[in-house]
Amino acid sequence: MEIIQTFINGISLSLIYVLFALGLTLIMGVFDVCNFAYGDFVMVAAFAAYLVITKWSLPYVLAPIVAMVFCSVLGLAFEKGIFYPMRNRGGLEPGLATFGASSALETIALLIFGGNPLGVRALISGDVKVGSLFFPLQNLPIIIGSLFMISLLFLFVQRTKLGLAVRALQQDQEAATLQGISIANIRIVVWVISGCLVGAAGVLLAPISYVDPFIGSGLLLKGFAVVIMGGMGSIPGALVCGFLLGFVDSFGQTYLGTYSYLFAFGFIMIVLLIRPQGLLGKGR
Amino acid sequence: MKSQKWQLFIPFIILLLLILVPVFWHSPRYLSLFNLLFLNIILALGVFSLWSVGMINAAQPVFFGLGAYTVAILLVRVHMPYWLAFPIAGIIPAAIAGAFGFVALKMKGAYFLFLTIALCELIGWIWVAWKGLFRGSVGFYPIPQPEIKIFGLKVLFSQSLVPYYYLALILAVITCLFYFKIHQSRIGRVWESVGKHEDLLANTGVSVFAQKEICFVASCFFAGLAGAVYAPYMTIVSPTQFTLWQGIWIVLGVLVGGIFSPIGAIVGTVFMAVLGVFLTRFSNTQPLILGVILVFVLLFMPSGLFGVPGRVINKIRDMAPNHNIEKEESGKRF
Repeated sequence: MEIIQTFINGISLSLIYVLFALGLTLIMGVFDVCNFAYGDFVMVAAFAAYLVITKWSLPYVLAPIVAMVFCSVLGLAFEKGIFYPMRNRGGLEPGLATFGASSALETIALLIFGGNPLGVRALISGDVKVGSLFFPLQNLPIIIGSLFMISLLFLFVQRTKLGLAVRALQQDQEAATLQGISIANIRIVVWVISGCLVGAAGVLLAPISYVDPFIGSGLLLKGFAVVIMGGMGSIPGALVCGFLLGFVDSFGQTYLGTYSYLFAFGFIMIVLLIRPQGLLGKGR
Repeated sequence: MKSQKWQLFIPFIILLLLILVPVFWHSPRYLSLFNLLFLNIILALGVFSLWSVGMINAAQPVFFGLGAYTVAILLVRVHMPYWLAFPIAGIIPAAIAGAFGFVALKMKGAYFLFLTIALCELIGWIWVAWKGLFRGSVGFYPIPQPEIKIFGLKVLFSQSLVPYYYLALILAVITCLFYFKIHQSRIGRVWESVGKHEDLLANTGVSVFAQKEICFVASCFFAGLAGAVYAPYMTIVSPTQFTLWQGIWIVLGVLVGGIFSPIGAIVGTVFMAVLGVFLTRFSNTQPLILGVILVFVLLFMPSGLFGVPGRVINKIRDMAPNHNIEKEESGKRF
């Protein structure tokens, strides 16, 4: 019966991967850049949750709002500071500049909060016992919250005019500009949406993991794996591959132990061998 | 821009100064700094050459580490003489790079970068997990010190850092010569155009993939040789010495120096090393300062540190009245 528990853990883990990867794939798809500081966005959101819930003991509802605002502001700072000034220099150079920004952010967090892991209480705690099985209830807010965010994103991208503009920008910048879409404005919109997604991911991640300045670095590699496996900028790709990697991870850790690492990377390599442009990415 | 005659002497003067360093500066601290700098320059030149074909390799320390591990295994387990193990330490990383590149070099920019990051994690994990061959997280210690006979004089590497200094210097100079020659030769032009107009070049009948593969394998060969110097020098080889972050710092060093010339890679690596030395006093805030400096350099010096004098000269030349004629001439010469 272990398999059901692993399955539920897999679902909540994959939903966090998906949220994170959706934010990342939006940025990588629209701007055609890598953002290696994206893990630190999760760190900022997790610290926002820590501040609101544990330190100031404010209502739980405020945590995601504060985290989203923090992440959006951080995203806009990146846009104004690094990505917009370096927009004509290819995708990789600004990406490498974010490495510098990332180490700066982590150090700032280390100076403010120290290196000790901090705890955030879960929204609902306790277990539900069914037969001989325990279902930890802390998975429930993760599943509901992330499904809510993912469906909001889908509604936005598919049903609104702004979402259409984002998709247009992703496909062809010049043609989109000719249609009267203001690139600068859409870039800001994308950063805010991506900040909201990653803010939610950080707040949901904080109770099930410890909050420390390096919480994002593990997630960053996973997020990149999901984005590249799914195809850069592909939202369905991020969704599918987030679930794939989440399940490979949680089942691998339960049944293979440390070898899950080898297994996950082997899996990615094989996917990229067969489809270099990603599982659901469009060929160039 | 025509290079002046006096500019040709600069490398010789620098080389002479570097040869004389151990004579005047015995302090082991400085010698080891120089030593690591030389090894880093070898790695950075490899990263630079691969960058010129449009690929960024963040896994350079892994190939460096593979060289070091090869030497460690051959010396400790097989008791092979050091100078026989030395070339093998170049060949094995090159072979692994060839196999990895066969898959990975078919991908484009960001994908390749990600695959090298994944390779870093994977090989780091294998070093820890395969205890039978690599001895896990403990690694190899101590590694036997090499010795060599020059003109009947026996040089023991175990006694001081000076022999290592010269060994690393010789290797760095050979690597520099190799890359400078290539950069000026026809192959260098081909590599540069692979980076700039891959499709155009493919249409002229050049196998772009083969060029990338050659470039990658060569850079990893030199990285492995550098690892062969590093292993007995540190006397210990363990997985924590070769991490992804080092690879990223090397890449950043190349980018900071300027990616248009091998000199840029050297300048950038030296800059990063000097920065590291100056920042040791700020132990807590070091990554913060380093990060901010890097972002500023990348933002405001698009052609890197090495490009700054050229840009200043161009600015001055633009002020001169007859700069147009000179520009036309320099265009023809190319």
